[in-house]
Amino acid sequence: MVCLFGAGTGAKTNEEYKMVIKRKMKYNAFMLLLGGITLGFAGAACTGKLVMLSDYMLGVYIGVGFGLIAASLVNLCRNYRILHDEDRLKAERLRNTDERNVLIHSKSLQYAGAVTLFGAYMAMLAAGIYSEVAFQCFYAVVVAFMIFYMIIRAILMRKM
Amino acid sequence: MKNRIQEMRKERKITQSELAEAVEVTRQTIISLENGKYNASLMLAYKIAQYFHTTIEDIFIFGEEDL
Repeated sequence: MVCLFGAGTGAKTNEEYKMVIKRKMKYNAFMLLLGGITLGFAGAACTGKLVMLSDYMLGVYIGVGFGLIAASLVNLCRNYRILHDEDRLKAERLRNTDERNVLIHSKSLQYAGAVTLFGAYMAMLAAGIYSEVAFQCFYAVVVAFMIFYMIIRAILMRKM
Repeated sequence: MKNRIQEMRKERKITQSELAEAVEVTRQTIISLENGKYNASLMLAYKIAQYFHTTIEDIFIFGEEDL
């Protein structure tokens, strides 16, 4: 996941960072596939054989599918160029392994997580007034967040 | 925590980019260190001290507020 977000690798040399870039390219390929599957699903929904989707949801699936494909292709091209240019590779490695950047990245994730949790909790309280389904969705987000936090914390406590 | 990075760098006529490249960080990190906005990790402090051929205590000044 850290690789997806693009910061925090432990690569110390260009050769080590090449492996990181190759791993990123595998993620990009997976995202490309995911985009294709999303578009395929939308295509199947268009025919009405597999599932029926509203026009709005069809638009969402097509948009997300194309978005994923476009982003993956751009990242694949970018990573390919980095892989074959030593100067770019070094600059990218320094940018990704720079301790200040890594700290900024992890703090951003930490704050984003806290804001998301607080937002989900507030939305859960508000949703309870109007819809039980919406309440349960936000409740699930809050509970999942807390469970994942405890699991990841336990793993890190053992590792560090 | 205060530091003497800028002072030592200017004494030796070294640019921020040169120092950044030598200790394998971005130039922005050196700027932040010099401005006191960011405190270096032990590893980076050691690299900087090695680069200037001195000790960590000579570059990074621990005040009462840091303890």
